[in-house]
Amino acid sequence: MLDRSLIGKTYSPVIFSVTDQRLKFFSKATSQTDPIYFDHENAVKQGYKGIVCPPTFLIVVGMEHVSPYQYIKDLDIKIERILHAEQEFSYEEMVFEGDTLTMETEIVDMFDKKDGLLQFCVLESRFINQNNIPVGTLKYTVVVR
Amino acid sequence: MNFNLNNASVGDKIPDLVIEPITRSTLALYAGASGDHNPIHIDLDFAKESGMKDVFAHGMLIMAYLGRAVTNIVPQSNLKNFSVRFSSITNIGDILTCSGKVKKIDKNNSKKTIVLDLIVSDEFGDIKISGVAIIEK
Repeated sequence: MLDRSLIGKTYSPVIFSVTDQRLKFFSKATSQTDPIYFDHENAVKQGYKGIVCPPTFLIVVGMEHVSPYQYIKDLDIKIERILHAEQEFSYEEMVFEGDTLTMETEIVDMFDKKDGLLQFCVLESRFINQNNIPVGTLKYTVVVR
Repeated sequence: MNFNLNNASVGDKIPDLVIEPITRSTLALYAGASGDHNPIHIDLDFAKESGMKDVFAHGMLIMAYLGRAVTNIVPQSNLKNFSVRFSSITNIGDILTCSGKVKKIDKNNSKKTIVLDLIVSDEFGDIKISGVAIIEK
C-alpha cells in the first residue's frame, strides 16, 4: 500500500530554458518531419516566434529536476516496479524556443484497483512561462506492479 | 492531406502515421533527448535483472509519435488537451501505426470543439496506447 499521506506533497520547482538545440534533439529522437519543430527560419516564416515545442515536450522539463525520481524514493518502491499508466496534457499557451518555463509538481492523488493489487499515483505539474502566464498542465499517472 | 478540420464529420478517419521499426538506437536517442534515463529502456542487463526479456520503449516516445499524427492535421495552437492510456509495452522491432477518428463535434456559438479518438497499434494489431485529443477552433 502506497503512503497516502504523501498526497499534497510538492517538489522544488524546475526552471527550464527552452533551447533550439534541445528542441532539435527532441525532434530527431521522435522522427519529427514538420520543420516548425526543428527549423527556426521555417517556424518564423509560418508566423511563430521561433521553433515550436511539440505537444509532449513538457515532459522533458521534469527530467531536469535535481532528483527526477524523488517521488519514487518517497513512495519507497523500486524504479523497475513503476510503469507509466496514463498521461495527460492541457494546453493554455504555446511554448517556443527562447521561453523560460517554471514547473511546479505535486502528488495529487493515489488510488488502487483490483483490491489493491494495482496501486496508482498521480503527479500534476503546472507550467508558467517567463511572463508568469500559465502555459499548460501535465498529469502523470504511474502504476506500481 | 485528405482530412479537413473545417468540414470533418463524426467517424472520419485521420491519415495513419506509420513509424519506422523501433530500434535500440531509437530508445537511446529518446533517452538522451527527453532526459528520461530510466535504465529499463536502455540497459539490457538491467531490464533482464528486472524480469523483462529485453529493453522496451518509453511510453512517452509512443505518445510523441501520436502527437505527430495529430499535429499533421491540426495546427498545434488548436490542440487544447491530449491524453493517453498506456496499455501494452512497445518492444524492439515493433512497427507502429498511429491512427484516429473523429468521435464528437460540438458547436457552441462561434466555437467548435472536435474530439478525436486515437490509437497506436503494432503490425499485429496489438494496441499500445489509446488516447483522446480535444481540438478547439
